[in-house]
Amino acid sequence: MDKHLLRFDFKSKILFFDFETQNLNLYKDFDLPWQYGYVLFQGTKVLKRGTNYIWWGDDYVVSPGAAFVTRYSRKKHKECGVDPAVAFKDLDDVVGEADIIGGHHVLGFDIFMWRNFILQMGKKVPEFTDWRWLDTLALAKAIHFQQVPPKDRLEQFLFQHKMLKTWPGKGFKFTLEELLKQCKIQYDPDQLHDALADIELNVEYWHHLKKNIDI
Amino acid sequence: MVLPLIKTHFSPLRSLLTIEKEEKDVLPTGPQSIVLMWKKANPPGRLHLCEDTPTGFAEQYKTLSSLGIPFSFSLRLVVCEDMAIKNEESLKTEHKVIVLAKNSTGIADLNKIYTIAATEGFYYNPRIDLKRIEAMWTPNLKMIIPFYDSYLYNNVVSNGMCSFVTSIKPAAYLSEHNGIPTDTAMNAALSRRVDDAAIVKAQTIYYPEAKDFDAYLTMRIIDKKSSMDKPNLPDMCSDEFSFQKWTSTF
Repeated sequence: MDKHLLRFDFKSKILFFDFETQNLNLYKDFDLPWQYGYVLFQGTKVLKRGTNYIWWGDDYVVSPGAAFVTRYSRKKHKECGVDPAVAFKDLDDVVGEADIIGGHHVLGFDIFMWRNFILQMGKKVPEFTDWRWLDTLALAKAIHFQQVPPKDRLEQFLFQHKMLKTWPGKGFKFTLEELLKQCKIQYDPDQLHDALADIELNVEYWHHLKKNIDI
Repeated sequence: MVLPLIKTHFSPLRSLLTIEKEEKDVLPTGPQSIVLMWKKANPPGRLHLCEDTPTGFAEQYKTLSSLGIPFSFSLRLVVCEDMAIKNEESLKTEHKVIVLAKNSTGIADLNKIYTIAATEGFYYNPRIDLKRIEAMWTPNLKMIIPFYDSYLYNNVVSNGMCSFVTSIKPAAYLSEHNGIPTDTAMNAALSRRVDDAAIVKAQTIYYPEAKDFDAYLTMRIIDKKSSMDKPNLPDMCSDEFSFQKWTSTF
């Protein structure tokens, strides 16, 4: 048994998170999250799950494009929204428990949103490489391109970035929805783009993915 | 000492910095002069210009010399596998090198290299291949490998297929840290692939202070013809490419 492979690892705590945000800008002054969802798990056992709507105030605006894709409801956002400091602490606490952080396109987007959230709260941005990272989009592409991720943590981190920037050409889709269909995981399309629902499906996809890649 | 790599408005749509030498020529709410900021900060060492084109050199030379500010001039060139091949695949072979002029003859040599890149080699941007650079290389020039967009960076972090086979030995490999999520890992990757003695800390400078990043981002978005909601500018999250940040290093 190759114990370094995550499919045999039942000790490491893995946190998958997902942010819903104003738009696709990566800079803190223009894009902050209005919701996040997370699942903390060990092996296949879920330890914690959570979500928070973050209310930044009446001036906070979600772009029409983002609102359409995420089925954003300002009414729900305002009603359920909590103070950013409360939401931040909840996320910070669970991140502190994680050995590994992951998500779908997490290295291409959510890592920046997490960074923006941290900066907006006036905190110091941690060294991201203090955690091991799993980007299910990057790893799905690695399988497609028959690439084996390096074992070294830092090289693996960079490898996943490289995979995110490598495109297979027309006809290939790597959205979570498409990947779920490919591995026949049932889901409700209406629930997609709710942060917690997305991340729970993402975790289910990860359990399928890890069997097909040596990581 | 962190090497400052200053880009001015002579690199089109890549910098908010100008080179006016008098306060009266600068609007308080407009682009700021790196020359005036340099004079005020009075840092040790040279002002290192690292531009995308040599078009501003004459004016930069005149201004900086008249004020007695020691400086050096380099070009950040786009290099590809073979500049005669102009297709989508050849774009994956592109990376950047910095060519520094050691003296005034070096400036003339740089201009010759850039002329080839901007004419014969042009494909979306001026570019040249290493074979041609080697053929035109002189002892008046020095090659430096930048941190971002180098052959190493593009091969390791992006989908580049860049080769760096040349008889020209780079004088240095630059290392930067600007808060971009891949910076730490890329610096570690650089240390693994290059002798530590060749690595020099640097800071690319595009604007005066962190607060100017909004304006810088707007300029880049206009150039890209994208939007604030969807800039399509990879990794564009950091406001640390500033003169203010560089001055805090000494």
